[in-house]
Amino acid sequence: MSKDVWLPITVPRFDERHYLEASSSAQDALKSGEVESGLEHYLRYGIDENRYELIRREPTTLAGSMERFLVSQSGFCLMLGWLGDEGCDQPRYRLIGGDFTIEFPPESTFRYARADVETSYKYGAYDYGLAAFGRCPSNSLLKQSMLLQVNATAGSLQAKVTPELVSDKRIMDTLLEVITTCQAHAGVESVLNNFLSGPGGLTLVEAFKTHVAMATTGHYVQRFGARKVTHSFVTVLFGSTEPLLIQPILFREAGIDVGEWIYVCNSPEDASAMLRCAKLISDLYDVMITIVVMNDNAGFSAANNVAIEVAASDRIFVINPDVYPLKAHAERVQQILASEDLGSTMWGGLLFYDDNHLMHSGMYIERDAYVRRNSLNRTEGPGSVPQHCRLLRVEHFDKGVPFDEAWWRVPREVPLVSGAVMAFDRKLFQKIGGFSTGYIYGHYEDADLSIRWREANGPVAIHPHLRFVHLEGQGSKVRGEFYRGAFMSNRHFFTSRYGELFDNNLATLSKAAGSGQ
Amino acid sequence: MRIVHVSYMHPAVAPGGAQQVAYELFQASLREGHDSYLVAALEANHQEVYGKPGAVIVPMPGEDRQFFYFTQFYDYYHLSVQDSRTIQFFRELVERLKPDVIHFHHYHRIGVESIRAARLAAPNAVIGLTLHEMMAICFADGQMLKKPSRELCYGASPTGCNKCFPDLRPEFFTLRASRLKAILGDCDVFVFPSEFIAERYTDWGLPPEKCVVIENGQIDLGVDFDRKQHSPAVNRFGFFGQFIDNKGVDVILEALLILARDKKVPPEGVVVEINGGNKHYATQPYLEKIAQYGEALKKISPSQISVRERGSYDREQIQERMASIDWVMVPSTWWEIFGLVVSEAWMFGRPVIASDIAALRDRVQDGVNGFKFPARNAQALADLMVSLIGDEQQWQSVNSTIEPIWSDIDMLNGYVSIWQEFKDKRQHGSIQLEAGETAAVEQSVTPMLPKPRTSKLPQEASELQQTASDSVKAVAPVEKAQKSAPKKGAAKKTRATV
Repeated sequence: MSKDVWLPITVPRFDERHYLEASSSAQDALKSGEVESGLEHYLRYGIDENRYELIRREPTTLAGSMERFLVSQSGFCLMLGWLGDEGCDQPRYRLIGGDFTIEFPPESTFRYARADVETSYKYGAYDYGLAAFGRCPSNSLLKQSMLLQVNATAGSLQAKVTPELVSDKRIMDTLLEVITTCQAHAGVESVLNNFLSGPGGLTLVEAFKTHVAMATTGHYVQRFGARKVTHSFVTVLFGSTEPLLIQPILFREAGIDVGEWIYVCNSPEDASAMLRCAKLISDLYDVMITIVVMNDNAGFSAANNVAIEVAASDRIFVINPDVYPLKAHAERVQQILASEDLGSTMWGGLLFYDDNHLMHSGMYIERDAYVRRNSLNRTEGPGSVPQHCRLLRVEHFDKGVPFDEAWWRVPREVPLVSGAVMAFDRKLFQKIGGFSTGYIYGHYEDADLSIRWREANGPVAIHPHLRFVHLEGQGSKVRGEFYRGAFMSNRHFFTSRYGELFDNNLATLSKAAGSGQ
Repeated sequence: MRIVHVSYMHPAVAPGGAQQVAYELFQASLREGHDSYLVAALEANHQEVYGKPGAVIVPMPGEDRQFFYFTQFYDYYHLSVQDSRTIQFFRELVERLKPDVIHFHHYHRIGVESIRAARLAAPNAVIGLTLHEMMAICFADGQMLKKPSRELCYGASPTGCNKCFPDLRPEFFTLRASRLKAILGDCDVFVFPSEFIAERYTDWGLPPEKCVVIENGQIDLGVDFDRKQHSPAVNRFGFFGQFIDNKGVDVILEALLILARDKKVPPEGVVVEINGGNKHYATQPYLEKIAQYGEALKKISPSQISVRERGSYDREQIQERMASIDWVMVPSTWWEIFGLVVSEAWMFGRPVIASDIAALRDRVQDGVNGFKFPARNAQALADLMVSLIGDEQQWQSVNSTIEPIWSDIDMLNGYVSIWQEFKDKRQHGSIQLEAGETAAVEQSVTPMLPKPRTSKLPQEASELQQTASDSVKAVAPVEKAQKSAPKKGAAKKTRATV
């Protein structure tokens, strides 16, 4: 550090002896030669650390605005706005009420680009946007007007905030929308990972679990054509009843006895149509159909867990709504349904694009690195974005390759199987707690289940006779950016849970484990 | 036989080719002594006038054997009735009627689930479906015309259909087709009015061994008409049909404009009478195009060319309208499935000038019963008109070789022979019953054989059945549908083994 470039500063009332006596770190720095005097130490460190109240500080007023302050029924709160704190140290965010103060730790916040602010306030690669998310232990405390204080050493902002009272789901979806639509000069993956792998992410998952509890409590179950069955198909629908009108007919036409087909209605607005159609198809095609209606979209995991709980058999076949039989292979599927004990293995299937091309045959884990981009944001201190992050990604074996019948004469263990087709014994599934609801709405829960299954129950493998066509995109109809935000967030959650495990188990979880063609 | 005919719409409610054929088949079967019923599925907006509150099926006022069917929760995407209550009422009606045959003439509004219900209600009955259109193949109302260009489409495919409907993923079309084929699998026999549509459906995936061509027959409205009557200059042309985009009125007007601009209008002049209704179903751009052509014609040649728009007509008016023209123009710009208007023209001895497309290509033979020109080619039509105007000898030649039309009784006999064949197959086990279906032969009513024919057809019922059976044997292996018009009196049936 060149002292030649420093501006000359005089502090007439500075007392060298008093400062050194009060500051052991100043003494150490003087002894080591890092500084030449107590004054130099004071100028370089003491002022910023406010060690010697000699200089009266007059913090500047930070530009900024808190545009939305949402508080939910269960005490979750989300603050959205912008803050012109470029060049400042990490601010503290505090909500001050009559007799209390609540603080958002830096890890519960993230910064993102705001093009509108850059246009109207200050141009440049600084992420002005601010999102702060947390949960108050009290459901009611935040439901009042408060004073927001944002304090950095160099500047501060005070504003009165009045909460928008919303449901837990709305506050969660609002944050997910921000997550899916935001960009960041520092790199959105790095920014989000910093937030989602910490308290912010934990709180988001907690919000989802709160929503799940509401969505699953008092679910409605109705069976059509009830009978004794040896296996149960489970399919979760959202925003569409179409698969219910097609799947049982085409499976039946292919000669596959589906036993009981459980359809979970994750969009209760479709419940009447679904119940009507279930009765129709059950009557016309003599198939047992069970409808489970959730109170709201409980997500893939919770919906499956509830369905499997009410299933009329212990042999469970999770089938996506866009999975259909291949007539040429239907007989093999029927053989499994009719005879085989599923054992302690969690089975996946061979999914095809068409008669001859695999869509995938099991899954493995990859890891991608994301390096922080250059921006004007802080790069050090609490809440700042790390220089890089690595995110896990689930990838498929044999994507689009011609099918090799010879390779698939025997079952093959794989790191993970897709939730598009899964077969397992219910008791073993429930022993490990079913699908995790730690993933919002959907994605990554199948990989999560595979990992936990292997740890607790037994092998995860592809059954060569479970062959289906997977018509991607003809399943549930998701509407809204927040579903994409959930998908993005789940990747971070999955990484938080299994990043270290992956690093330590490359032989069993990565592509190196096999068993693609 | 006890026959339940199921149609989309009813001629008493709204005119239309398919319902007319179904109705005439129903009437003919009654006349021939069959124990027949007609169930006509109507549109939802007909319920207020023709329906009763809360009723899915109501008897047609004043009729013992006809019912209106108001399906609830109809889904056009899958041609599907998604309501167990609706289907249950239909099923119960069929169970009570105990038919030997249930023959559908459509699936739109009826819902393909009604076919399944019929199978469950009458396990041993023959279930037939006449496909008068291509809605199962083509989501664009079955027209097989590309959107928005209206170019002819030669085959449906998931990606091709996605181009017409970008909001629907290719997989939707895959599943739609798979579902329809699976449900239509309950039919014993598919009947097509023309070889053209039979080939389209077998290409689509219907099993050829179940596919049969039986031309539409009609009651001859021209029995008392002087078929030889014509204008001295044979220069009077008539259009009959719906005044909609696909029927080609624009091609006629464009041909007239070409004649006028090229100064090729024969000295006798040319008269065109447009007999067309349902103009409100035409698109606005099409109507604007028609108006522009009309204005242009007035400016160029007000005296030599006469275009008269006579509006819609009913069956009682056909004879009078046919009397004022010499030629019937059928310039369709789409895949004409059969062309009832062609049969109507021939009832009155009018040679047909038709687009060389689809069923028109098969039915119209140049110089025998009419003339063809390349579809959508106004120049070719103009040239053809010039060559025909004033050629009285040509008109008389063609007029004399037009065969009498295939009557409603002919059509019925064709159907009866097919029904009987498949009834025998079901009874003798060559068609397997599904699990859950009971062999209800003993419960069904003894079939009523057709009464002996009267004057028009020479064969006894037993002869007809024998002929039909022989015909099947003769063509069953690989022969394509016959290209020539079937001979009167034969069981009008060919396997469309394509």
